[in-house]
Amino acid sequence: MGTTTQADTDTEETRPNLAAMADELDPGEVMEDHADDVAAALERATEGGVEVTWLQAQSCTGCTMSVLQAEFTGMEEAISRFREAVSFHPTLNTVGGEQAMEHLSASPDILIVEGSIPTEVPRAATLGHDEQGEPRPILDWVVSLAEDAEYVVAIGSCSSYGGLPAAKAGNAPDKGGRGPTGAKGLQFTGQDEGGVFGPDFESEAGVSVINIPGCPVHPDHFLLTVGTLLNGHEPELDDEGRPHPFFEPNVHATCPLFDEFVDGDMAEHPGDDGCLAEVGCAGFYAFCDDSHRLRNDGTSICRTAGAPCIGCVEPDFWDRFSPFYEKGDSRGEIWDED
Amino acid sequence: MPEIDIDPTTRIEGHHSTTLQVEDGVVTEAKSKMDMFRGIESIVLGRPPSDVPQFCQMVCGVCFTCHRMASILAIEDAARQAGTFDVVPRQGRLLRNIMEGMFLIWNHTVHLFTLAGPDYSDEVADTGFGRLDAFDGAGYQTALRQQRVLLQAFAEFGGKAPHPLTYAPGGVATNPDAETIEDVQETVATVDEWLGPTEAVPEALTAVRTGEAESDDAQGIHDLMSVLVGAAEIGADRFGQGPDRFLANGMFHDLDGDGAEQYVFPRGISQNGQVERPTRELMVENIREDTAYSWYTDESGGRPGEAPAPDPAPDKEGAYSWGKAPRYDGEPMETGPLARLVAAERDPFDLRADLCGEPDASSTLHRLTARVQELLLVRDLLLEWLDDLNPDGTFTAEWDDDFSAQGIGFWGASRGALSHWCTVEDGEVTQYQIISPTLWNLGPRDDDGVPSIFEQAAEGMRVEDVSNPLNVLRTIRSFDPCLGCAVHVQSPAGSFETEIEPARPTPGGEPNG
Repeated sequence: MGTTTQADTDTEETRPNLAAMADELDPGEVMEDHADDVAAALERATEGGVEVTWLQAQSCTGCTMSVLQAEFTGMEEAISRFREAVSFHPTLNTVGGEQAMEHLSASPDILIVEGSIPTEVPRAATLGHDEQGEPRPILDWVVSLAEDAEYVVAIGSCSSYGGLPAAKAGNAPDKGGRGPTGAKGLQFTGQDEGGVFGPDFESEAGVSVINIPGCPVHPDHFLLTVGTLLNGHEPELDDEGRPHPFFEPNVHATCPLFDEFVDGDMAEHPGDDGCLAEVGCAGFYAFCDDSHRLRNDGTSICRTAGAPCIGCVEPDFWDRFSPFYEKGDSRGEIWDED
Repeated sequence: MPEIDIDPTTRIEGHHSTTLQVEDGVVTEAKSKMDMFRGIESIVLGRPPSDVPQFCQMVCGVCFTCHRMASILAIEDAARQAGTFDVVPRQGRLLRNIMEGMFLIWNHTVHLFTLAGPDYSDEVADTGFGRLDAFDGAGYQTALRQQRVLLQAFAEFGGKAPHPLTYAPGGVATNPDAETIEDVQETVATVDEWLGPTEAVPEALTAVRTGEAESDDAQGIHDLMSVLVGAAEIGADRFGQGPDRFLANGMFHDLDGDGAEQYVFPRGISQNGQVERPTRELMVENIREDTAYSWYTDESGGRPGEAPAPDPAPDKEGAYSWGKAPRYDGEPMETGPLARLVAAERDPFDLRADLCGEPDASSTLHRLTARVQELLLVRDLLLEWLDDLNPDGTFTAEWDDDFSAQGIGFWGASRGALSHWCTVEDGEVTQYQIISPTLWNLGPRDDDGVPSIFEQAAEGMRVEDVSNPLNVLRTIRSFDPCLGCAVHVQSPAGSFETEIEPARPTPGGEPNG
């Protein structure tokens, strides 16, 4: 696999397929050994060779903040410039009432969406103005920008599956849809295919929305997936639209506390030593490589600090796994040791 | 067609915008608009109290500790009222202080170097402080690395950051061993060395004023002084003035007390130059939220302990924000590090007196200066707290969700006074309200049409160049609003409109953020 980025040999064939590499190597290894390749891929967007637009809908911005935590020499600058280049960014235009939005590509090659989309109360997330001078709903933006995009990427659990804004809203007034704003993911609403675009949506390249869930997204998952696309490759997706290598391992099976589970050494309260299965850990139902990849430059993951997994990479995790600190019996398909 | 590109200092995140009416070069009206709503105060209803802090944490991925913390305090307070809970053990309070302290230092670092700092850089303001330039400046770049290091230390106790998972009702649900504590101390030491010793402040200030930007042992502090000297040079003490009414909830547990309602940075109200220490009951009595200019039904306002979850009314006549308008005794109040230091009657190194004149007044420079002061105060506290952490300590108390009562969590978030209000019935949350610092500072008008703190600060400002109202942007940023911002400027005839966004490497947020 070529890792050179020199101009004369820089073709799609020589640019690494980062997701495929991740499938073959230990979590973390691609980022450690090929950070230059990831940075080079990002620069293709920064320099305008590939048009990328990143929109924020109903988001907490945690995914943006998480991406800033990627820890590799030189990476912070590449990320920061990338983020600057791809964010909504109107040119200032001094003509009556009009707002030029020339920096926001009207036909991005890659559309990245952070946050869920309010479909019943579209005004609950707006950006800029429409032709009538009214705030323009993000719903309109994503529908129109997705039309010509080669790839659509959902960053985080909210744009992937609806996330927190699409969780059940107690006894709040019924606004239809999910949550008080009818929030949805791009191609899923919770575990149901559909979302904003419908189950049959395919972007120009002929693939469904690429979901990179997590609350927040793991920076490696995001950088390696987008880097793969920027390098001209397509990651293989699972049934939930997630790139395979990052979301295949079962959290429980790969847990740093698995030996404690086997030995029957069980925590009685969150924070205690031992396996957290008895205090609601959702690891049986959750699939991602965080157990080995860890977070914040390999520092830790929820369970190593004593916190049960809340299944944040899974569709509908807010309602499926809450109450978070109780073993649930209706949480869905369980990981099978065989 | 004149076209002005303020790249790289422009960015919109779509969650906040401001419309300014400008006549004869002066802002005659400002409207601060929050552009996003998710309904978290509805989504927590019907859930067990111990789950609710998890939901509330996701109010904001920038202020990810504060909402979890305030939510926990509200729930613990309710359980205390019900008699099912007493106090968080001392080591649990200590660990919370440590985590909140690390977070505050992270937040202020990101703000001062990557959001506000570039406003006073050589590139933007011709100040000679090239280290503050966005992206290329050495100070900016170092700060970006240091923020990551800080979150690595934080993740040792939190599991991950953003969105740690270990804060819980009863304490902190983690048991750090000696090795983990040592790792954190070592990581924090690198940040500590970058900043340099606090006592270097006066010398650094003098050095920066005489054109010395480099330092052998206190580069971080030198860069911070450059931000302040740069801001003083462009006259930031003479714009962005608030009404000099400040509100501070307490912040950081007082470890020597009995565990409840005693803080390192005290609760206080300051108005007319007088600091008062209202009781908790008086605070509760005096706080209300108005919704006349918010996209919610009129019934959604009122006393936060009684109001129902906000019911969206997106077509409401006259409304312009998803934020509500919190008021104290009927008045808008400024909150944030400046409010906290005014309420604590502290002005370390007389920095505010030196740079801004009156230490207890409010301006864009006052806010920046107080944030620098607080960053250093908390850094020094954090080092003491880490030394005090005992791996054999008890970090959490027994907790039971099954109770009925009302509770309030008052806390100081990095951006200012934050409160969560909850009602629990038979182990289920039945009512919930959040009042965030950004609502206090940048909310809309109240039922009487009185503008919010930022709206007041912007009105009357001179805008020399309507295509680039830089001082308005500097003022918005001085509040460290937890949202991306855009500013629309309109002339009386509406024949001119431009949209400007401040640099925002830490963008986003929501009305509750």
